[in-house]
Formats: sequence, C-alpha cells, structure tokens
Amino acid sequence: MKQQIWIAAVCVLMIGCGQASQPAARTERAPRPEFSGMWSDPPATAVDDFCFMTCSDEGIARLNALLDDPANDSRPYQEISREAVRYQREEYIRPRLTPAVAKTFPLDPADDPGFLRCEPWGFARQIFAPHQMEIRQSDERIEIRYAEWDGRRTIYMDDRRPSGQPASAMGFSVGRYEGDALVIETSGVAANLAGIFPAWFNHGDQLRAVERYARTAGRNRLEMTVTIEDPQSLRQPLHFRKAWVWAPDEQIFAYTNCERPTEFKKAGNLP
Amino acid sequence: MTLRYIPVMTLLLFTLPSRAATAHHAFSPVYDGSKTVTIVGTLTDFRLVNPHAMMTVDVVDKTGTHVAWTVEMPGLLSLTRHGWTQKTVTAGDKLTISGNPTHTGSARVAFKRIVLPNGKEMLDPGEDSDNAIEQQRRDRAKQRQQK
Repeated sequence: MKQQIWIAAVCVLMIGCGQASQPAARTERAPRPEFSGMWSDPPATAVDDFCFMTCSDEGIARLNALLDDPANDSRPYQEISREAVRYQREEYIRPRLTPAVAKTFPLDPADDPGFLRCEPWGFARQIFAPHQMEIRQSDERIEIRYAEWDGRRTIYMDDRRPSGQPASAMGFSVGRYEGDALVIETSGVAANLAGIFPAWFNHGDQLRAVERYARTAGRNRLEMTVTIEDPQSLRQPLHFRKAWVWAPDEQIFAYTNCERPTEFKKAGNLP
Repeated sequence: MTLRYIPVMTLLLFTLPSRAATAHHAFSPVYDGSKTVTIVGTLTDFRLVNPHAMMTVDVVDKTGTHVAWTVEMPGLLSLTRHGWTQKTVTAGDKLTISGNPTHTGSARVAFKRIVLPNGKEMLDPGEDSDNAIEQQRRDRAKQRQQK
C-alpha cells in the first residue's frame, strides 16, 4: 500500500512538474518591436528645431512658454529659441554639474577636438547626432549607423555583460525590449565631451546612460529619451530627448571630407 | 571672365548660422554671425560632400586682383534635401553669394544664399526651416487671438 501511495505521489509530482514546466516550454517570445530601417530629421517645427541635436523637457517648456506669450509675437523665432537655449544651459544643465566641471562650462567651441582635429564624436554626443540614423536589428544584436561622422555602434541583445573591456569612444551597450520600447544601457565610455551642442563639458569614464526608444505618431516617429549619469561631472542625472522620423528614401552618404580649420578665434560666443 | 567684386558688408542683428550648417562643429570660432558679406564671382570648383560642401569662387577685388574665395556650405544631406545636386552649379557659372564672413576678414564665407546664373535664388536650408517655423508661429498667434 505504502509503495502504491509513493508511486501515486511521484506520479502526481511528475504531472505537476510537467504542468509547471509546460508553460515555460510553450512560452513564445513576444514579437520584438521593429525599429529597423532609416530614420532622419523631423520636419521643421519650433520644438523639433530646438531639439535638433537634443533638448530637455525643461528647455521645451521654456520655449513653449515664450512662444505662447503674446508679448513675443513680434520677436524672431531665432531670438526666442536662443533665450530658451540659454535657459536650458544655465538653469537645467549647469546646476546638475559638479562644481569643478561647472567652472569650465561651457567649454570653448574652438577647443572641440571634432572641430580642431576632425576627431569623431564620442558616445555622449553621437547618440544625439542629427540627420540619418540607420538601425539594423537581429535577435542577437542591433547595429546603429549615424550619418554624422559615419558613427557606428553595436547593442548586444543576448544578455552578455561588460567583461573588463577597456573604455572606448562608443562604450559597451546592451539592450532589451520593454513592451514596444527598446532600452539600451551603456557603460565603458572613454572620457570625452557631453552636453547640448555646442555647450559641452568634460565627462569621465564612469558615465552610464540608459536610452529608451519608442515609435509614436503612427509608428512614423522615433522618440528617444536618455538619462545620463557620471559621478565625475554630474551631481544629478541629465535627462534629454530627441526624435527622428521614418525616412526610407534617404541614405547615408560618405563622410570623408572633414576639413581642419585654418583659422579660428577662441572664446566664440554661444547663442 | 569674372565679375567685379561687390564690397557689401552689412551688420545684421540676430543673424545666426543655420542648424544644418552647424551640425558637426560650432560656427562661432570661424565666422562672425553678426555680419553678412556678398561676393560676386565665377565658380571654379564645387564639391558636394560631407560634412560641408565647398565652393571656390574667383572674385576680382577693387584693385583688379583675382582672389579665390572659399564658400563653406551645409553638408550633402542638407543640400540635396533642398534640391541641390552636383549639377546645380558648374565651373564657369557667375554667382552672387551672401554669407557670414570670417572673424579675420579672410576670403572665406559661410553660405546663406546664392543667386544662380538663371536668376534663381537658393537659400541656406536652415533659412528655409526658419521661414517655415515663422509661418507656424504666425498661425499659432492667429489661433490664440481667435480664442
């Protein structure tokens, strides 16, 4: 009798285990959200122009407040945009910088190695590059190619983790899907410049970023939000955003004619 | 044959480089965005490339000396979106070009607008964007006033 009970118990457990394992075995991966293809600059609107490279929600709010103020109706858009840019730089970015970095912010545009030596941008500038961005997506990885500087990066989607690679210009990126969004975490970025064009500051090699991409507006618009943290340069994280539109007819052209300046002036004024 | 140099130097408040022209580096170290210069001359070279297209224009100055001016333009993408091709201008074309001069006054200009031999005017793509945004602002103000 005892033996029968044991056999029955084992059978029940096996069936139970079988049932428990069945859903896992049957679980199908949700169809991945598709981002593949060519994306590019949105049509000119005040906000998208303001966010041409990138922008903050605080900056957009300031811009919209200025545009909605009847007292500004006769002011040129460029003047209003510059006021919002100054606000964003001084009231959003500067207070979040460490005191040492704030002292030199914004760096002189004439010291930009991209300008002086045609040195391609690092991660913290490249992800905000204007113009086309081509995404190639597979289950294991995502390749992104940017028109500006012909910058390229790989995002690993196979759960691998950083394993002591030396810091590099574009860092080490891993991604995952959260619903319809693509979330990318990046670390291992070599010290370089960050900020909003052309108001740069120096970031350190402990920078970490979380990008989130989602398609909106009938899937023809790609919105990115990003949070950047860096103990060397930031007291608080910076949150930026940017958008592209679906541009299947565009292409990325060669980027081979960068010209080093033959004349320039230091301490150029920022708008 | 070249055309005579037109010495026009106009102070324009709030003249800034377009977003398209400044995408890859800042404009202010080289160019003075508060001024505009106009040159008239003969095209000798046009390179529709990234990150900036470039023209070389032979301009005859007041003393009759030929000076090769460099015209720095937005890149291939921005220009092609606004109708430019490698054939928009050809060597020998007589062109009138306005733009921002350098801080040093050297023979170099950041493109703002061009008048082609057939009289057609083409603007810096950034100016086209600004015009579109100004129209949207007028519409927005009108809607606000109608409420």
